[in-house]
Order: sequence, then C-alpha cells, then structure tokens
Amino acid sequence: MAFTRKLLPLLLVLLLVPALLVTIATGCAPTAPEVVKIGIAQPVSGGWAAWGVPVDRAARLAIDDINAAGGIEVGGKIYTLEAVTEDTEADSAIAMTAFNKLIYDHKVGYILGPMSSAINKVVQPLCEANKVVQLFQGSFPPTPDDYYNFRGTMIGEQMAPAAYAAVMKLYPETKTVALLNRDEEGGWTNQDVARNVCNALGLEIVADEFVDPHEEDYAPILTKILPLEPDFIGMGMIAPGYHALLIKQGREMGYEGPFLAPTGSDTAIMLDIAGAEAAEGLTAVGTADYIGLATTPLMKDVGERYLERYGTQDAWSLEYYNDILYIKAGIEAANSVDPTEVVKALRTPGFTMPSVYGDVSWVGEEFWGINSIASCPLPYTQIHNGKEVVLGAVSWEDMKPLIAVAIGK
Amino acid sequence: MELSSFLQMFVNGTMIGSQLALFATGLTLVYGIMLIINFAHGELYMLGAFAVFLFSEQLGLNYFISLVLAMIVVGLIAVAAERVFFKPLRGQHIPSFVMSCGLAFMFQVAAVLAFGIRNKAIDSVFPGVVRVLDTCVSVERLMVSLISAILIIGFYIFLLRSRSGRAMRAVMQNPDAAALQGVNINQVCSLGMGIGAALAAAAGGLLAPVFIFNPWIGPALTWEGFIVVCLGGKTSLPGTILAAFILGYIRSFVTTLVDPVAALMCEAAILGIILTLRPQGLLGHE
Repeated sequence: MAFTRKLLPLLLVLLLVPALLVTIATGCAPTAPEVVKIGIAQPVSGGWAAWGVPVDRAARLAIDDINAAGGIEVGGKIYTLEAVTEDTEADSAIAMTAFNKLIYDHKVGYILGPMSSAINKVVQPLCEANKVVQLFQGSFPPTPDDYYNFRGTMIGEQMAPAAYAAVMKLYPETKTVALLNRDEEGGWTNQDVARNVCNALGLEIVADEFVDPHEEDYAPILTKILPLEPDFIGMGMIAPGYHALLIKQGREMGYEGPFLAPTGSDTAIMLDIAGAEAAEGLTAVGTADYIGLATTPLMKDVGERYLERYGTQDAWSLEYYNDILYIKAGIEAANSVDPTEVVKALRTPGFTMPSVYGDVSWVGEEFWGINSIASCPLPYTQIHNGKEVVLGAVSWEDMKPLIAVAIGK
Repeated sequence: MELSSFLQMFVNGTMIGSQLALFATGLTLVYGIMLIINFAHGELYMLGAFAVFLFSEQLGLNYFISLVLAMIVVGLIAVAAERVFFKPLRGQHIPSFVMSCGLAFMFQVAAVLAFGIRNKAIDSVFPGVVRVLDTCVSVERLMVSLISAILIIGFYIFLLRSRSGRAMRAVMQNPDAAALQGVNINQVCSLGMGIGAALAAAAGGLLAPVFIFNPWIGPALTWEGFIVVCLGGKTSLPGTILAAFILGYIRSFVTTLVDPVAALMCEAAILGIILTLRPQGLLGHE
C-alpha cells in the first residue's frame, strides 16, 4: 500500500506530462493543408497507353508545380492537389469501374478522362449525377447538356478539317484520298467529319474503311485500298502504335504517298516502329515538340521540365497540363473547391483562364450550343529526316470556317 | 478481280494461316495430352516476344540465338507451371481452366513489372520486300512463314519418329492404355507442355519484328487459337493446320473483298456450320 501511494503520483506525472506536451505541440503546429483530389482515368496500360500515359504525366507535373508554388488559397485556407490514377484500359466496363472507384472510394470532384467518346457515353451520366467536373479527351462534339463536362483538347470536328486543309496546302496536286478509321463510336464520328471536309475540299474519297481498334495486320485492308491509288491515306483515330504499323506495312506493299494522322500522332513511336524512312512525310495535327513550337516562355519552360522529368516529349501533353490550370482557375474564381461552384465560375460568360499558350476561354457555342472547348491553337507537323518539324498552328478564329464546313453549317 | 489482287489476297492469307498454325499447334498439343484448356497460351506467345526483345535488343545477342533461348526459357517456365499448378489438377477440366486464367494474369503482371506498359517493337531482321507478278510480301513475313513451316514439320517428324513423340501420340489417343504400356504420363505431360509453350514462344519471337507487342496481347490470341483448335478437331494436329489456313484465307479474302467485320462474321459462320455438322471438328475423331 505504501509502495502504491508513492508510485501513483509518479505514474500520473509520467502520463500527464507527455500528454500535455503533445497537446501543446499539436496546438502550435501549423494546420496541414487540405487536399483536393484530381482523378486521372486513362488507359495507362495496353495498346492505348501511348495516349493515356501523357495525361497522367502532364497532370502530375502540373499538380507538383502548383503545390510547389504554395497550392491554391481558397477562403484563407491552403489547398494542395493530389493525383489519383485509375487505369481504364480503353475498355468501357473497366472504365466504369475506374470512375466508380474515383468517385465513391477516392471521393474526387475532378477527373481528367476518359480518353474515348465511346467510354464517355458510359461514364458521363455518372459524373453529371455526382457533380464531378470532367476534362474529357474525345472526338465526339459537346452537347448543350454537358454541364460538368469540358474539353481541354480538340475534338475531331476541329482537328480533322485543320489536318485535311494542311495536307491540301502541302500537296496542292492532291485529288483522291483513302479514309481509314477505327471501328467504334469515335471513329465513326471522325469519319463523318472527314467525309464532309473531303467533299468540301473537292477531294474524291476512293476508299472509306474501318478497322478493329487493336488490329495489327493491315495487309488485307491495304490490298483493298492501294489498287485504288489514293493520293494520300487519312488514318483517322487509330492509336499511334497501330498507325505506325499501318505506315510500315503500307510502305512494304509499295505505297509511296503521304499519310495523314488527323487526330494526332507520336513521333517517337512512329520512328521506333515504322522507321524514319517509312514515316517520312507523315503529316499530323498536334505536336510533341512543345519546346520547338514554344510561343510563350511558359510553354518552353513546361516543355523542358516535362522532357527532363520523363525523358521524352509526348503529343498533346501540354494540353493535359492546361487541364489542371483550368481547374485551378475555376477554384480560384469560385473561391471554393466545390465542383458545382467551380463549374458556375468556369461557365461565366467571358471567363478567361491561363494556359501555356496564354489566356484562353471556353468556346464552341455557335457550333454545338455550349462553350465547352478550350480555345487553344492547333499545331500541325510533318516528319522529315527522322525529326518532327512544326509547320504552323491554326488559331480558334482560323478554325471556325473549317469547323462550319466539317459539320455542314 | 485482277489476278494480282487475287494473288495478293492468297499471299496475305498464307501469311495469316502460317502464324495461326504455329501458335495453335502448341495449344492442340497441350489439350491433346493433358486435356487442359490452357487460357495462358497467348501469354506464352507474349513471353516469347518479350524474351526475344530482352535477349536481342537489350542484351545484344544475335536474333536467332535469342529466338532459341526464348523458346527454351518459355518452355521451361511452362514445364515448371505444369509441375506446380496443373499436375495436381490433372483430369479436372474446370479447375485447370481457372488455374490457367490465373497463370495468364500472373504472366501479364510479370511482363508489366519487367518491361513496362508501353508497346514494344523489334527492329526488322529481314528487311526488304519481295515482288512477284505485282504481288508483294515483306521478306520478314516470308521468313516467318518459312521458319514456322520448318518448326511445324520438325515437330511432326519428332512426333512420328521419336520414342517420346510416339509416347505423346499414345497419351493423346488413350492415356490409360498408354500408362498400361509403360508410358510415364508425368514426363509426357511435362514434355508436351514444354514443347507447346516453345512453339507459342517461337510464334511470338518470330512475329515480334513484324507487329508490336505489350503485356496484354495474350487473351485475344488465345481466343483465336481456340477457334482454330475447335474448328480443326481438338486433338488433331493436321486439323489444326488445316483450320488455321482456312481461317487465314477467309480473313484475307473477305476483308479485302468486303470488310473486316464481314470477315469475322464469316469465320464465326464457318465455325458454327462445321461444328454443327461435325462436332468433332474437321479432322477430329468422335
């Protein structure tokens, strides 16, 4: 009993003092910044990874840049951004699971994705119902119901007309074209646009074909197309690795004319798979060479740091970097991280936001009934002697008459 | 139809058929001996392609040495898988099938961890194009067909003339009778699995310079292989080869004359009609 009487005060001191110290320390410590999670729902595996991985890379670079600069201040609180990536594998069912995980498990309010119009049809209702802002990469045009859905990258109705117009400028003697596209939603839409543009430009469409999105053996379809002697072949929305095979096999079968990638390419993959000789003259919209294209100091700076961090420049990567800048601009304008408030701010008429190109705004209402597309310029390039050469860029204003033709307005 | 177009379609179909034949021969062998629906067969093709990539592109070995090494390595992996995973399930179709699905995922993950997620390609081994009578075929694809033919013929000679080959045929015909005759079933199963995997790896390695590959190419190839095997007759090797070329020519001619979707429909229709009239397949036994 005596022992207990002596021990008890000692025990109390040993327990209470540390507890008091911890309480004081916690009370004095700076409050950890709150986190805004950004979901990245992209094909980061499989044949479409060449398109999905750059989104993940660019978004993470942008997020790290914003966090390093102090995060985003909203109502006196500091918020940092955190990327959460889920692989969609370019498959609708898997993408649905990815979106469900992002929305319900990770509780994200902003998602970059998906990478395909066919998949977006499946996941967009989920995002709209849960008030999740989407920066979506797909060819399908926006609709007036797309309240939470935005496009940081061009759609087919912008890219295809600019691409075909660029080819006509480069090869004025062109008379005939073979159109090849992937056999799914995005490809069908893109092919419709290509047909409209080719008809408007006075080109004769000698072949109008579709292939499986993952097809690797193009010999049978090339056997059908090449005897028709197209002046050039438009490759539609076929992913870079597969259109590299198409170019390689086309050259093996004797085709010497130019190829067009009207929705973008990947020069590194072209050179690796098709080779410099086969890829010579490949015309594409979009570029990986943002350093070469750089029209602003920010573009050059981000391009160089992307190259340093990832060892390569990726096509469309700085467009995906912009997506994070748009989210930041919306949060700051709304002075809230609530996606609904952010969308209200983004949809304010005349709203402008910073991008690597300078200030841009949401446009497109005159064509699609809603301003949902970022008014970024569209570069076009060619491969010469194993290098991507940027030939120029088409501004939103220059694009408008071409878009009108593409959609028959 | 011009003669040159017909010849080009015939050449294309022959190329496709020879690819399918080499790949599906291994599948038929595994099913014939072990009665296993090996859903991981496409992954063995994928591992073959990556093994050739590792040996030739990353370690700088000669392509042919890399191909042989790839066949040996993948064959040994398959033998190990047979001993560890399939032997305990011998005779049980559904568990064996499920096990092969699990193996397929395992191989995919291993390939992702070892080689990453991006598409890979191997530099052309036989550059150039052969042009005859207005038809053209890359030397690469011509050599793939030639080497595939050599491998299949070599395998047939082994099957017909060697002691081990006779043992394998005996087990394919009647495993119980073969066991009673003194055939070591365990050894035959391992050998069959190893050779089947080596043939799949050979297909992957030969086609690596022709196409692109990534860790997820396996499942689509496995399905194609099963269609060939079912059409040909599940345990008939000549039937497999016949079915491979029939499907190759259908794919080539119908794609060129109509479109790729029509080609798929024709393949499915032929499969349905043949299996309705002859459930055992073209050259299978009842």
